[in-house]
Amino acid sequence: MILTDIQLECVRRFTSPVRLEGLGKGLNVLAAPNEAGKSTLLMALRAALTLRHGSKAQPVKEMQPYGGGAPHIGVGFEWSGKPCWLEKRFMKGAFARLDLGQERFDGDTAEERLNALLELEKDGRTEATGLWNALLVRQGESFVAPVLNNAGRSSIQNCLEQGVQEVTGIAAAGALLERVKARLGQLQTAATGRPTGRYKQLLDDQAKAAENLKSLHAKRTALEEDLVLLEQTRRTLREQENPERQKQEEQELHKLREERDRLRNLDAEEKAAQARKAAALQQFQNIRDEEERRKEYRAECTRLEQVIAASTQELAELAEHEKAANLRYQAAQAECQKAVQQHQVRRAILHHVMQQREVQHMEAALLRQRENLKHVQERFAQIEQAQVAFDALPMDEAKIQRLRKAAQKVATLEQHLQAQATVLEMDLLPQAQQRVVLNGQACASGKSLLHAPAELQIEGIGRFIITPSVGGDTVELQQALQIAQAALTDLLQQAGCLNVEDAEQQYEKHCLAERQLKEAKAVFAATAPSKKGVNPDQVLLELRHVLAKEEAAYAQKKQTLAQNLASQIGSADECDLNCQPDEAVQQEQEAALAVDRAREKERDAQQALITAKTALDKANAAQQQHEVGLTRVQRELALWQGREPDVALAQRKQLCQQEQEAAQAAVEHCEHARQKERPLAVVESGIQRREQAQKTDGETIARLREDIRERETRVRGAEGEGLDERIAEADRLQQRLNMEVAACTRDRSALVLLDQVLSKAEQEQTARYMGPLVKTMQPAFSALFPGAELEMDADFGVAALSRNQREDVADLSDGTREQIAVLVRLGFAEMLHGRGVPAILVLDDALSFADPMRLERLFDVLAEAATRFQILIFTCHAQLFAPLRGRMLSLRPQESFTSPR
Amino acid sequence: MKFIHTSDWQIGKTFSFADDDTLGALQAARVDVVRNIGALARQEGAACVLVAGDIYEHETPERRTLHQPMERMRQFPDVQWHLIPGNHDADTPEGVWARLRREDAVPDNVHLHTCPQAVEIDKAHNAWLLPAVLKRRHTLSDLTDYMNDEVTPPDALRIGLAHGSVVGFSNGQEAKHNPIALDRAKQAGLAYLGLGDWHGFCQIDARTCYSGTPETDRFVTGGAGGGETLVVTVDGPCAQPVISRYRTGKYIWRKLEDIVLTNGEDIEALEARVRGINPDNPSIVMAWLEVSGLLGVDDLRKYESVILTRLQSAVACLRITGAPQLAAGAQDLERLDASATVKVAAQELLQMVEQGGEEGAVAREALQRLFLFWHEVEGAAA
Repeated sequence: MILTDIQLECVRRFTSPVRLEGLGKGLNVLAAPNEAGKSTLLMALRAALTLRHGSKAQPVKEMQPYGGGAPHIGVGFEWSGKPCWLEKRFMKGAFARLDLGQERFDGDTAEERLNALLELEKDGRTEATGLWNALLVRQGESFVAPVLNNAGRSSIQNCLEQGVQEVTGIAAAGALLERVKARLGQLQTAATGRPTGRYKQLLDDQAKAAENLKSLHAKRTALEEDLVLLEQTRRTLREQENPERQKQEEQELHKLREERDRLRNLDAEEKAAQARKAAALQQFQNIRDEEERRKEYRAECTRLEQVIAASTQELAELAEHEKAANLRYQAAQAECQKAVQQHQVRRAILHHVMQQREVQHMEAALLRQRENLKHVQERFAQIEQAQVAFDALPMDEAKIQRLRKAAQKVATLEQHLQAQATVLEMDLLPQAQQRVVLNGQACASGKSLLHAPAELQIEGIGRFIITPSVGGDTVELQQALQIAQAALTDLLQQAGCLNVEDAEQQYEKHCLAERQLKEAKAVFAATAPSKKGVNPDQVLLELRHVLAKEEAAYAQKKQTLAQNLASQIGSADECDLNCQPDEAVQQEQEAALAVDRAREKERDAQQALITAKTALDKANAAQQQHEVGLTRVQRELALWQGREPDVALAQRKQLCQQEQEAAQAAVEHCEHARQKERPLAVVESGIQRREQAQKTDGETIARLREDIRERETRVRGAEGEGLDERIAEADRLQQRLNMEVAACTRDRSALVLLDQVLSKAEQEQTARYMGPLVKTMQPAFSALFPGAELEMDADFGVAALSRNQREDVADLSDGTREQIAVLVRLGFAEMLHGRGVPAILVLDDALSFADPMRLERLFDVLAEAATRFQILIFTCHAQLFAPLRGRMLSLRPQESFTSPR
Repeated sequence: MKFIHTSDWQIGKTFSFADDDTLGALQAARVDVVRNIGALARQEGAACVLVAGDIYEHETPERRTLHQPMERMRQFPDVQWHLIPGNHDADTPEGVWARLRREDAVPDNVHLHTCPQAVEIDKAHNAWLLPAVLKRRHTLSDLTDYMNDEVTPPDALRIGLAHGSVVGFSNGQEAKHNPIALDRAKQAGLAYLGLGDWHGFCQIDARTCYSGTPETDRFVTGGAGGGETLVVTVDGPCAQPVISRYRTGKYIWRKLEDIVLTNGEDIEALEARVRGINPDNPSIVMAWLEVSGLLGVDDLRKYESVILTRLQSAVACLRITGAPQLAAGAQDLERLDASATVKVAAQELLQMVEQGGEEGAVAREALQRLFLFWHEVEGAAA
């Protein structure tokens, strides 16, 4: 198929007719600046090929110019060697016409014939789609891989199936899969797999039905409960309203009241008898108590008189005993005091002996300290001597170093000077020695160094002037030597030395004195090891200070001892005072034991005295108490007897007994009568209950009636609803829904499985037969990406390139992905062309991101492909696409739209 | 004296297996059968219709359901209808009978017997009805017991009417409740004892009969299967009654068990068998098929076409439990040669089917659908 002519008018910016000129076989390039109408041209071409002329849908409206109008497009092309013409007008005056050679088709027939020619498929009422959509590449579309719709897939699958010997039937599988998916789509959503449509409705209905059934059963339960309670309530009400029952209750109440009155009278009688009996009993008890008391008092009188007689004798014995105890206590006190005094003396002696021993220790310590101080003072004197000797030798390390350095410098300069001096060596005969005079002095044999011009005079020979060759630095060396010698001399003077050897001797002495000083200090430090690191002066001062303090303490102690001896001990024996401390300790302990023993005796005697005194006091108190008691008892007995003699009391007691017996008889009579009756509390409770019941009967009846009315209303309501029937119906509905849901679930499972299995089979088969497509595309890919192998996916896109390693297309750069997408479209066109179906490729504003080398290769690929089918390239980069060397196209306005026939 | 004996109308009964249309038709038929009974009474010259309980299916039917049978009976004022409660419509305080009375819905020619005492129903023949009254759904005592001692005038025609299970007649669960002595008619000197509860006609002895339901309501019904009403003629207290059975039901219920389908002939035979139940009018046939078996792809399609589509439309209701399974083999896959892709998928499914288990069952269904869709695709292509 070769496009030969494209005309359009009333398409967006082209309100007037315009024509694309220059179209022909092979590569065609339309290079024009932005907004020249390239994209509009492609839009018009797509519209002519794919949009139905009768449509007024959005894609058609988008073609209209701003001022409105009917888009009119004409496309001339050659097919099978015949000139063809396609012309369509949209919107007002819409028509379609297709001339295939001599054949002409109009209207829908033209559309169908065109679709058949291009293998397009109707997609709704507006558009026809197919692989051609992938071949007319709009601006920006070239960056993405072509997305194929069903017709496109079908078209490419047809191409591929033709290429393989075995018929794979992928299209049929696709159709089958489409049906499966459509059917499955009725049951679940494609994206999430959630139930949808009728299945979802059934599930919802099932849940609602279950809920409804549950609710109805709950109502049924409530109804049954209402029915039971209604029957009970009615029964209760009937009983409540029964007049016989009311009369009977009235009679019962009357009887109960009579019984209660009788019981109350009986109760009162019994209480009176009980009171009488209690009073008689109490009186009898009082009389008997009185008699008892009188008897007890008389006995008490007798007892007290006997006790008083016995206690008088005991008192005398206790007084004697107390007196003897007092005497024993006084004797023990005296002995104890004496022992205490003796012990105090022994303690003073012991203290004195211990103090005396301490003074002796202090004295010995003082002697040692004095000795030590003396020794330290001697060592200190040695240090002082060594220090004096050391201080007298000023030649120290620094000075000797400076001297050595100065002497070294002088020697070095002298050596340098000698090296530069003129050597005059003479070997003179003995008789000639006086005849040779150098600088006025007689010469001897040997070497002479001449630093300055010298005069040699040889007697009988003449006078020679020897002038040494004075170099550049000889004079400087001489000057430096003089300075060095002066410095050395100055240093020697400062050190008080005659020469360097003397200085060295001085330094050795200095070192020796230093060692002696160190040794003296070390000896001193060894004498006072506790003061290591402390200045010897300080140490000596501290020792003297300590000794002075010790001596003062010693004197103080001695004086105190003498004073104590005078004041505390006084008359002690001399031998006791001078005894050994152990002995003094023993004597003191013995004295202390004697004190303890004396105190023990004293405590025993005191205890005995206290016991005797206590017994005496107690006996005295008891005696007095008994006497008071006897007096009180005798007085009360006399008082009682005066008030009521014993005879009168006995008569009153007899009367009381008689009264008590009479009251007891009355109580027993009442009790006997009451045993035949019910308890009063029970009777009263019965009366109260019945009276209360009578009061509340009206309320109860009203409440029961109300309750019955309420329950009847509910029951009627449930009856009106036909609850049982509704339950049966709901049950039936739920069973049906359960069955339907189960069927849908089974259907869904089967369809899901079928979908999976078919999809898998289709992918596998697609992969199998994808070979021809890869084979078709591979040369172009190899030209652009040398050594690369293609990997295609089931959607006819390139999944990956394998060069040195596998690279997913998604990971490649935008430019590379665009180039791959263009090659894929080229491959599609190639496949269509190979199958004898019309095919061209139109690229709008593509390949702008390719590098020059890649673009050059791509041009080669496009040029090679253009030898088989037509390729149109629209670009705004004229220079960039100039090397393509295609036919240059141009858009030219024309006066009118010109159809070929 | 000639009278009609019927029972177990079960008005308001629902059928869970039926779709809405079928259910409506079945329920309408149960109401309409009252007219058939009335017409039969007129036709046979019977002045009384004795209904032995279970007039209603539910204790609380809807208002319309409650009134429908009363209104049908009202249409026959020349016929006296004597009703007793059954276990489904026992005479409870707030039950259907109390509702009917309360709503004044009982026509004059309809007599509700809710007291167990002799009632004169035909003065001319000195006929007395002795009803047994169920006061609750189930009782353990024999409510016909009182009939032995119930006094009626001398030479009276004593007719008993009860609802329950004759003791010793059935071994089922029902015998435990509402028992009736096997020889009650003899014990109580009854000329006839009309019974209800058993949905098929069943004669216990010369004087004791279950009439069965006048409109069949079960696929499995004891006795003769129901759908009948009895005309009873009793010439005297001691004369043996003459019992005639008349068909009053509309629908014919049949259950065909253990149907095994293995080929196309089996399918055709099944269709013929179902149609043969009532060849003149299959539309009144209610059929329950218990189907199993294995069918090839074509036969399965035939099954769907003949049974599931054609036969289902022909009969009133086709209840099917079980289904023939697809017996697809390697040879069946040959029909998929047009698409190797589909064939590969079918082979995989077939393998899953052969492995069995739950997955195998799903795979079988999937394979069945694959063949079905394939047929559609081929048809569309053609």
